[in-house]
Amino acid sequence: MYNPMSLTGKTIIVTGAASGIGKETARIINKLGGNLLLLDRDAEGLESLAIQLRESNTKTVARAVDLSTVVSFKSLLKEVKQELGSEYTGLVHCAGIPSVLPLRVLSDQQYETVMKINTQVALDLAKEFSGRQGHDTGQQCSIVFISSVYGVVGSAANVAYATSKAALLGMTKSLAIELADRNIRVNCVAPGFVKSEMAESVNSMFDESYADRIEQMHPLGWGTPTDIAYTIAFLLSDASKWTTGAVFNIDGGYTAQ
Amino acid sequence: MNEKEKLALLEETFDVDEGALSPEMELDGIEEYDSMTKLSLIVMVEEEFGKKLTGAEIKAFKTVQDILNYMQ
Repeated sequence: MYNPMSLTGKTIIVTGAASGIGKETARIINKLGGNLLLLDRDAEGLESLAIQLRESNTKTVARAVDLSTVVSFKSLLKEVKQELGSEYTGLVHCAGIPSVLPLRVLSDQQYETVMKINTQVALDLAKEFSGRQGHDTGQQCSIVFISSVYGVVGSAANVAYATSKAALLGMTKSLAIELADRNIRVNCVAPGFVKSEMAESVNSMFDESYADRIEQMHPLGWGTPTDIAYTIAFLLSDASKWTTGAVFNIDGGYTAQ
Repeated sequence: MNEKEKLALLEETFDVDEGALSPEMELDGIEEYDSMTKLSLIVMVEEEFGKKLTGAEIKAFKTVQDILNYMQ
């Protein structure tokens, strides 16, 4: 059956795979026929997902790791590659941590923690993935970073998070040019607010009216992780083979205003 | 931490001058008690006292004393 978004024959690394956008992305990749390396620090959540995904004909390997303390991504990726028996063709960095901190209480340590996971790890993974041993040099490969509407427009009390997510936009464009010779595309998705565990943790800091206000900022209302995962899947598939260095605002109209 | 020290910490969180706050002051009358200050209060209370302030608890604060009572 004709399906330009098929991921059959592709092997994709997904970080932050135990919840939210990462989890849904893994599910969609699996449905589209892709093999997976799932990374997350939540061992229980990861294994539960992996068990579901292994019911298909594809291969799924899960590794519970704290990305902020991984000494060598090279060793990790090499070890799992042997287990999967195939070269990596895609990387999606969904892992991220929220940070709702006004400037006056933002410490250096909090800033560094947010930058480490949201930005530095993205770069470290892209570096290993783009190496000759890190990806399948025989076919076009794809890297997808997950930014945020806060990487595109401003928001009070979000300076650390916004900085970390805005950095991904620059990273996307520069790496798209640098890695084009290696036949690796690099794109970025900037989601609006979706119903996820991360959104719940932020909502819990405020009263009930906060969620309503957030919804009103999206002309199409709250999104779902699936809305974002479909775009990510498109960017991993050959349907987007001429797309690189692009930022996709998948935000229900948040940034259209 | 005694009350004087707690008050000093609150003044830092509210970003007001030293001595600008007193326990009997009503929060509604303090110009600096805005959404940024409330968020800063959540962070300060968690860091200093290991307690997680909820939106409902913040809403229930009426005076500076109410916050001081929570800070333990």
